[in-house]
Amino acid sequence: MIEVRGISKRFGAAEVLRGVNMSLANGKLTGLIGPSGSGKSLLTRCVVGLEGFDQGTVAANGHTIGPGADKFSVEAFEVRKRVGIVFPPGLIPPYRTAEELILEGPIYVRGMRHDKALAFCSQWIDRLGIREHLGKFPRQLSTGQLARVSLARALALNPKYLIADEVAASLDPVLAGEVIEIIGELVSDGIGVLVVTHQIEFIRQHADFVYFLMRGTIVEKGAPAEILAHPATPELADFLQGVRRGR
Amino acid sequence: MTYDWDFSVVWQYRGALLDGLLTTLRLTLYSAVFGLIFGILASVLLTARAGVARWPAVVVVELLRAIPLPVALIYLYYVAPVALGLNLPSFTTSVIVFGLSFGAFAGDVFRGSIQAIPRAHVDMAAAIGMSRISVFRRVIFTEVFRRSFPALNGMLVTLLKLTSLAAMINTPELVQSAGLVVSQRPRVFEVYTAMMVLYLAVVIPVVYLLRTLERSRAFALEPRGT
Repeated sequence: MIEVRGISKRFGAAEVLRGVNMSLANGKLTGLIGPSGSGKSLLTRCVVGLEGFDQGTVAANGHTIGPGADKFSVEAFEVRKRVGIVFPPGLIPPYRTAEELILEGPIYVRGMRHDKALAFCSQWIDRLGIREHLGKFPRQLSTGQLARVSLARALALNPKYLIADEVAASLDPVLAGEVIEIIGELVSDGIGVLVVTHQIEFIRQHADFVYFLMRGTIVEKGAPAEILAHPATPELADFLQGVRRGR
Repeated sequence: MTYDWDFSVVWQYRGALLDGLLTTLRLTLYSAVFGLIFGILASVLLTARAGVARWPAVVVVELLRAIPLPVALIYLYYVAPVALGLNLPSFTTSVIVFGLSFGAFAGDVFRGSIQAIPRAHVDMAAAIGMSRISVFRRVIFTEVFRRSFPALNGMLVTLLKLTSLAAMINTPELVQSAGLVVSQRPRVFEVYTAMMVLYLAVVIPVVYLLRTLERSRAFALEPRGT
């Protein structure tokens, strides 16, 4: 379980996160939705200690990140140890091959030798169907292939939790479907997955729990079947309507 | 009117000309190494968050970029001994002037490269648990190097050619050596043709080599594969 309690963060006068509470359970798919600029990405960065915050705590694996912790602090490292983070394909460094990207953790963090690292990650490489692309650079890969490389990198160290920020947003429906299917399998394997997305349909069909974030606060939360069908607040109702209109 | 070309003078004074070329290359190498070190230090200060560290660096770098090289050479070689009691050999003076100038431009290139590193690249490394040191080595250093390489290439070739200015303070590089040969045997056309050919013989392969490196897997920011 990852427990987020009362996280607040301000940039100057602007309070961008305001007392956010959230929990991620093992073997569950949790969705985080909200309009652009609501603080979703920032919140996920805080959850894994990549961004410091002013108040609140994030607890996981018996360790707690407190206010003001830096991304290289011991607590942030400890919390992140069992969390894989999937970065969007567009942000991946262009100078590393797919193989280097995937094996970087096993080799440079765990200190494995190359052949051992490759064997260690083999199941993910095959499951994601990217073995033939291992020697290629990002420029030589399609967005869909890159998304799978990013997913493989996040899974390389066998995390208990996976955080995916807009991973399927840049994929065509077929590829997005494949990635979503894999995420479903991960959840069945007992991994706790947090998906940040605008794809409400995906959340409705697959998520166990959903949080709706707006202006830095969780405005609504609950089972997707309930809150997406019967929003209790005008904010969520408006948001859903906007998404439906294809905003 | 026909000129009676006689290139035997070039062969006769080949030692002096090659010595000059060697001095040109040494001057380029020493200045580039000194400049790179200076540039790296400058870029650290130029990207410092504290204004106390940043502002003096900005001023020094801008000054160094503003002073014309001939002015700097003449000043350090002829004026500094009197004004500051600083009596440096001409080769050393040239290395200092070219090195500082190269370093000021390199520092600015590095600063730009450091600031261009996407935060996500650092985050991606931190996300898998890399230590600060590993992130520096595998992301910051790698990326600054790859981002700066094309600009530094151009600067290196320019430096190689600009070292000819050292002749102004009698550093015995290629131009100065050719001048001395001409003063011994005034075969102006032949000697200066040889000088030109020697420059081209060095510059063209250097340009080609650097271009090739620039596109290689190990040096390119966005390699296209093999």
